[in-house]
Order: sequence, then C-alpha cells, then structure tokens
Amino acid sequence: MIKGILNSERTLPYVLMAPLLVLLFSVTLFPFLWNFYVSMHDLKTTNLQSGAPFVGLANYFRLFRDPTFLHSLKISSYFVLGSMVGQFGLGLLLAMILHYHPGPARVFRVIFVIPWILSALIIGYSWIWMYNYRFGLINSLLRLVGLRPIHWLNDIRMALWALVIANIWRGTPFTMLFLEAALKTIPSEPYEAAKVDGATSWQSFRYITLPLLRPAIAINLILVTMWTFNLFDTILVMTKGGPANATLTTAMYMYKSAFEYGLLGYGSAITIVMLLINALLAVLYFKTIGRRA
Amino acid sequence: MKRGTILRKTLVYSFLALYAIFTLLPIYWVFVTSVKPSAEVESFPPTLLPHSFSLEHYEFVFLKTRVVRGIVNSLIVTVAVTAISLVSASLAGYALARFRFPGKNALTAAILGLYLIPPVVNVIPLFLLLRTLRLLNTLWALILAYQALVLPLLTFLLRNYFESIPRELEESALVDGCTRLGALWRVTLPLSIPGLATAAIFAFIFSWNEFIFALLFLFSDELKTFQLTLMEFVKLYRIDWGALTAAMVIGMAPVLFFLAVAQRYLIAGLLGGAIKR
Amino acid sequence: MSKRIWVWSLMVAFGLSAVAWAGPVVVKLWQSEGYGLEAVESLIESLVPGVDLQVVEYPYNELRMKLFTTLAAGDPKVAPDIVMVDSIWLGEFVEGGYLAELTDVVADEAADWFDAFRNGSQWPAGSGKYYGLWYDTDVRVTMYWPDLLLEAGVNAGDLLYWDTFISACKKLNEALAPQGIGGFRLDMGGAYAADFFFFPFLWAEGGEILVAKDGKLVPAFNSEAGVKALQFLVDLVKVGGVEPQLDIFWGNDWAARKWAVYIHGNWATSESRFPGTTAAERMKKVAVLPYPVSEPGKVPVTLSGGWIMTIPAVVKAKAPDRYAKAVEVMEAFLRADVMAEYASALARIPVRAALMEEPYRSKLAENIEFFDFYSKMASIAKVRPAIPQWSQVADAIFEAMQKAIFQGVDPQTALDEAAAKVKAILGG
Repeated sequence: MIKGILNSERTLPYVLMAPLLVLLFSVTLFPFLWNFYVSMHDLKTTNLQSGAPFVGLANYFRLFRDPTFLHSLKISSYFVLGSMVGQFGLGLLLAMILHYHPGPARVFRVIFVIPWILSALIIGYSWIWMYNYRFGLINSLLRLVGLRPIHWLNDIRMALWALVIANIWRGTPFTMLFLEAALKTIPSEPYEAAKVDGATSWQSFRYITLPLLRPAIAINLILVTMWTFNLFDTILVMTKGGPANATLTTAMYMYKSAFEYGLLGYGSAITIVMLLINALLAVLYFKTIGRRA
Repeated sequence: MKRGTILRKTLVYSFLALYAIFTLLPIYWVFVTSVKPSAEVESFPPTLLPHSFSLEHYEFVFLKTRVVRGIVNSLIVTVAVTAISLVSASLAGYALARFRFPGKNALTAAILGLYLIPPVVNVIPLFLLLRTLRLLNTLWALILAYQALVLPLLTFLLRNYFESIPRELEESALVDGCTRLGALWRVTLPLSIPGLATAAIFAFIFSWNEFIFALLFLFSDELKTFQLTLMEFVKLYRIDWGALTAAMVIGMAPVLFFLAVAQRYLIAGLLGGAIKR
Repeated sequence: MSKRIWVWSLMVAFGLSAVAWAGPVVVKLWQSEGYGLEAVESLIESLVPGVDLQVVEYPYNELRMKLFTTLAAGDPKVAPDIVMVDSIWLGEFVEGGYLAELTDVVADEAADWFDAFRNGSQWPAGSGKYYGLWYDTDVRVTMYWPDLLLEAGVNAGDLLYWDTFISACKKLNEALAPQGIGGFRLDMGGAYAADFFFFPFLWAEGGEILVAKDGKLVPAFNSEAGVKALQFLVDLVKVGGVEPQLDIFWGNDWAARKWAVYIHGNWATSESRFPGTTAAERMKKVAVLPYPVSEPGKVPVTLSGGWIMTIPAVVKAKAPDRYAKAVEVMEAFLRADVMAEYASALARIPVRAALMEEPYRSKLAENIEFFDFYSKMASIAKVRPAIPQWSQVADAIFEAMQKAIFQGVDPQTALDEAAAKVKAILGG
C-alpha cells in the first residue's frame, strides 16, 4: 500500500510536498490567517488570560484616526524613499562597474556583500558605535577636519537620515548583485550594432541598457520597497523609534503597539494594513515578471 | 582615447575603493575596538589605530559571560533548523523540478506568496500559537518559527538546482530498476551536494542571525541564543563596548567564513530566491 | 504581633525541616539591573533557612517585556518566584491577572508606609487590595555645585523661584562657558523628561496629570497649571539660553562637573557617582534644594518612582510550595533591619516612617547624603498613576513637550493635542 503510494508517479509528488506544506501551513499560513482573527479582537496583554472581546473592524477604524499611525506612515515613506534612492543609485552604479570590469569585480564583490549577510543586531550595534557622539568613528573624522560633531541618533532632524545611511549600507549589495545578474542576461549584439552606428557609451546605456534592464529594475525597486517598509529590527536596536518618534516607522509602531503598549489586537491590525501595502507591491511584482516573460 | 581610458579606470577604481572603505569602516571600527585594552576603548579622543593590542575582551567574553552558552544554543537551533528544512525543502524541490502534477502551479505560487509575507506580520500570532502549544521558552519554538524564514527560499533554491541536473541520469537509473526515491537518493542527491551545501549555509546564516523571534519566545537566560547574549552588554547606564565588539566579531566570524569559502554559490543563491519564478 | 510570631516559628520549623530533609529551595527573583537585591541576599538566606535566593537581573527596558511574555506563557515552570515591577507598571500587570494578590501578606506591614507608596502598592490605588509592596524610592531635587555658583556670582536662593532660576541659568551659562561647563542641564532625551521637568511643576501649580470624572480617568495636564509649567520650560530655553540635552548620562556628567545645576534623582549625589567618598564628604562638595516654584508661597512637589516587590499569580495558583517560600523571603526582606541594610547599601530612600527614626536613621544617614532632606521629600512626594495605559500616556505628554520646546508650538496647543490623544487612549 505505502509502497504503491511512493512508487506511483501520480501520488508521489504530493507525498514529497507534504512535509513542506505541513510546516509552511503551521508556521506561516495558519499564523497569517489567525492574524485576521486577532486583529478583530481587542486583545491586550491585560486580557490575554481572561479573553479578548470581539470588536469587528474597530481596530482598523481607530488606526486611521490615530495621529501616531499616520505619522508613522509619513516616516516610513521618508525612510523607504531615502533608502531606495541611495540603494538603487549606488547599486546600479556598482553593478555597471562590476559588470564592465570583471577583473577587480571578484575581489570587490565579496567585500561589498558583507553587510547583506550580517545580523540586524550586529549591524545596529556597529552603527550605534560608529555614530557614538564621543567615541564614534564618524564624529572623530568630523573633528579631525575641524567640523562640529553631531548627535546622529539623538537629534530629531538627523536620526532618520542616520538610519537611512545604515540601511543603504546594509541593502545596497542586494541591488548591486541583482542588477549585475540582470546585466549579464543582456545579449551583446545590440551594443555591437550601436558601436557600428557610432553611438557614445552614454547613448548605448540610455537607449539599450536601461530599456532592457527595466523589468529587473522594477522588480528590484519593489523588493527593496517591501523590505525597507517591513524593516524594523535595526531600528529597534538603534533608536526604538525615537527621538520624539522621529524614526517611528509603521513597522516599528506595530512592534511598539504590540509589545511595548501591550495592544496585541491593535498591533495585528497594523500588520494587516502593512500586508495590504505589501500585497499591492506584490501585485506589481507579478505584473512586471509577467511582462518580462 | 587612451587618455580617456586611463582617466576612466582611475575613476572606476577609486570609486570601488571608496565604496569598499564605506563598507568596511563599521566593521573595522568594531574590530579595532575589540582589540584595544579597556582603558583605550573609552579614551577621548578615540584612537583611530589601536596604540596597544590586547585580547582581554575576548578572554572576558569567552570566560565570564553567557556567550559560549549562547553559541551552543544557537548551534542546536541552527543544526535542527537546517536538518528539518533541508529534508522537507529538497523533497518538495525535487517534486517541483521533476514532476508534472495537478495543482503544481498553484502550489508554486502559494509558496512564493508565503515567501512574500514579511515575518514581522506573523510575530503576534506565532507567539499566541507557541503559547497554546506550550512551546514558549523552549528551543523548539525557534526551530519551528525559523522554518518560516528559510523554507520558501530553500525550496526554490533546490528546485532550481535539481532542474539543472540532467534528467537522463535519473532515467537510466530507473531503467536499471531503481525506484523514484532510490534514484533521487543514489543519483540526484549526490550530484546536488553543492546545491544542498548552499541551502544549508543559508539555513545556518538565517537562524544564526535572527533575534526578534528569539527575544520574544525565549525567557530563560540558559536558553538565550548567541544574538541575545550580545544584548547583555548593553546596560542602562553604559554599554561595555570592549566586550560587545569582541562578541560581535565572534558573531560575524562564521558568516564571513561561509562567505569566503562559498561566495559564488551564496551570491547565486541570494539572487535565485528573488529572480527565479 | 502574634501573627508574626506564628509566621516566624513556622518559618523556623519549615527551614529546619527543609535543611534536614532536602537541599535548599531555590527562590528565583527578577529585578532590573542596578537595583541590587543581592546586597541583602546572604542576609535573607540566613533569615530564611533552606532558601537559595537567586537574583536575576535584566536591563530595565527588557524586564517589562520579559515579564509579560513569561507570565503570559502561564506556566509556573518558567515563571520566577518573586518579581520587581516598576511602580508605573502595576496597573497593567494586575489588570492582566499576572500578579498574585498579597493583601494578607503585606497589609499589616504597610501601615507604616508613607501614603503615596502605600496607596501605590494597591490596585486600584487606595482600594485596600495589595499586590506587593513598594519597598524603596528615589526623589528628584535641584542639585548644584556651590563653588561654581559662587564663581558665576549666582546666589543659591535664586534657584528657588522660576524667574530668578531662568536668569541664574543665563548667568551661569555665560560665566562658565569658557571652562566648558554648562549652566543648567535640561534632559529631553526620552519620555522620562516629563518625570523630571513637567509633572513636578504641574503638581506644584495645583494641576494633575489625570483626574477621575464620572468614574473614568480623563486628561487634566492641559489645565492652566500644565500650560504654565510647560511655558516655564519654554522660557528656560528661549530666555535662559538653556540648550536641551538629547542624551542622558543619569547624573554622571553633572557629577563630573560638566554642569553647574541639574534637576535629577538623588542617585546623582550618591557614592555611585562619587566613588570612594563618604556621605559627609559629598555633602561638603555639592548641595541640594527643592524644585523651584513659580512664586513665593507655592509649595514645591517632587516625583518619586520605585519598585514593587511582588509574586506572579501563576506561582500562587499552581505552585503553592514555591509561593509559601516566596512569601517567607518577602517577609524577611520587609523587616525594618533588612530594609535599612538594603537602602543604605544602594542609597535608596526608604518609604516607611520607622526607617526615619533611630536606630536606623543614623545608619542610613551615614551612607546616604542629605538623608533627612531626601526622606522628608519622599514623605510628601507624589507618584505617577500606575494605569495600564501609562506608557502611551507618557509618550503622548513627552511629544507635547518636544513640540513646545523644539518646534515652537504654543504650550496650550501642544498640551491640548496630547490631551485629545490621551483621551482616546483612556477611552478605548
């Protein structure tokens, strides 16, 4: 009987998929669905034991009247925009350089990738140490050239940009690798033809590389947007959303609501709204992949 | 023409060098701090190059803190996560690579969809789920939760790898009287060792680096994973930067080691999860 | 009294039997770092035979979440036997059903406590239902370096009233700047800023943070008193030239003479900030004053914090043996002589009348500088409402302070906005 199931070409694939599906169901899909349930209850750390009342969509209505939540959307968009501009600009530049200079690429690529695979905690602490007012490397360099040191993470106007710099540091390698891989898929014929026609390198970049790269760029931008929007581990380590909520992104506010204020249901509602934003981006993602294929 | 090339080369190389410096500076600063003697760590102005070299912080971290215990806990979690995810992802990856079956496309899309759910979204329900299962404050909580982080990526990675192995090899084994599973075990898996190794390294890096789930799901000091032990150096009144940076260097070491030995596979794998559909 | 003897004899009997038949019973205690119960650990172990007291410390920010996640797990195996909760967390922990009711254990003892702390150990405050005991405190005061004031030609009496305080800050700033010393340090680095620089002024002007209205708490900090208090801070910055500080060294930099005047907790004058000095030596170096008030005749108020020693509900409900042992440890700790030992070692201000008198007073005054002044302040101190939503309320009020001080928003508007927020938080 069991042998039959294992040997039948019809049933075997399902058997092989089963462990994965069971695991994914229990640690991803089921919690994900439970989230909707939680978000419709006023679940708090203060009624975790006694049971939370059902409140329907009240958490969602409350969200859009909550000035802190709206503020967090604003902060998130600055954070995403700043990170994206930096990561994409530098990433594209590096990808082009590595692609057209395969000689040094091998050495530099492995250096550039390092930040991408370090833990959020280590990244956070490294940058706290870099930004330290008295002992940080950045302020030391500023003093060296005669500039005033800056309270990077404590200053309301600076903190978000300090985080953006750290995030660019962390995320640029991904964009670089992604776009470099995409460049490799571009055939060489169009360039040769362009060369024959006497096109400058800027022209061939503008009229050949960019259009052919466009789908990859679109996917890259979407992924970066999603990840940056959802990111909160390094923010949690570095500023916890402060000073004066200057770095309170939506993801950070979700964490704060759920685990600092103890409002689990409300936190769940925030994650659902975040998810909707993600879903919107995912639709774009599939659309661009579809267009490429 | 020639002049332009030289100028361009200079520009390119100096930009690469600058960006490499930007990448390495925070790591340099951490490393340099970790080998400064205590008095020098918080001397003002800070020394950009250490005046004297000392391993006292490493000695302290290894002998007097919970870091070693944390490494052991992290290794337990990591090995279990890797074993479980590797087995289930390779079976599923094989099914997706070699079979045509009803529902295949829907399942593929579903797995990709789950991959796009940010882990942070599931933190609250996972906490409630583990509480119900009475698994909070056990390493099992992490072993299960981390599957969510690694499984989709590993499945796609291994599916792609299996697809790159010629079917014919397997088919000839089938002709020789092997069962499907026998062929997978005797032919495909041995040929997939680089792919499996890449997948294992990914599972390792993800579970080694994670700390939010660990922070929320573990309470006992004895169960703290390595990343959580780093937080012990951060006190309300001061941060013990000497010890913290030493512990951070220890934490970066295995990840950098894997990057050095398997960079080609890792980079391909990092991209595989994102590019391939 | 007879109850006490009974408990003690029981404890001795228990203790002897425990020693005779089994190894020591482990009692796990969780506390925030820096509030070292270990100072009296061996003393307690000697008073409660057969107990192995294990003190575990967590960083302040981590402790609250650790307690929540641990106690929410509802499993006595992972729960500690005794926990220290910050007094402002009491409401949310009690409402959540995480803490054991300890009225029969501590009510008699608490009779000797100063009002604010006795009420603050109950939930709802003043209801007679105890969830532990608020065993120590700290007070916030004005502290200064007399020699620096002299150098700048500032009279210490100027620090007693708002208008002269502002001009004194200005004068100090100008006179001491060449030496790299600041006049007055105004902390604005986190929500704690309100504890030091807003609530005490608000109270002294006759205001309240929240008031009960129709059985419900509503915001009251945007009253005339609140606006006046916040305006004082704005003036301090605008007129007095005080530059708000965004980092905080918890008194270390004032003690290192980076600032002439500071408003901070009494720990900043303790040995921890002046290593190797005696209380008498410290009293010769620095001086302290009550908070400044708006005009003569107003009575200054201070804010007190502190920790409540309590037992998780799950331990009481599901592990009666451990609960009994934890109660024994708690009772030993609450003895006047043990608390005096603890308060003296940690420079914490006691919250009960007995410790302000001999034989304890002189022992405490030997280690705690300005002991009489500090304990007098503690006896009249006010505390923050320990409601479940406190962390949100505190964040909203701090936001208003930042808006007024950094962004030039008019104090009334800023406080009204915060009050609307707080109203929603409390109403929900």
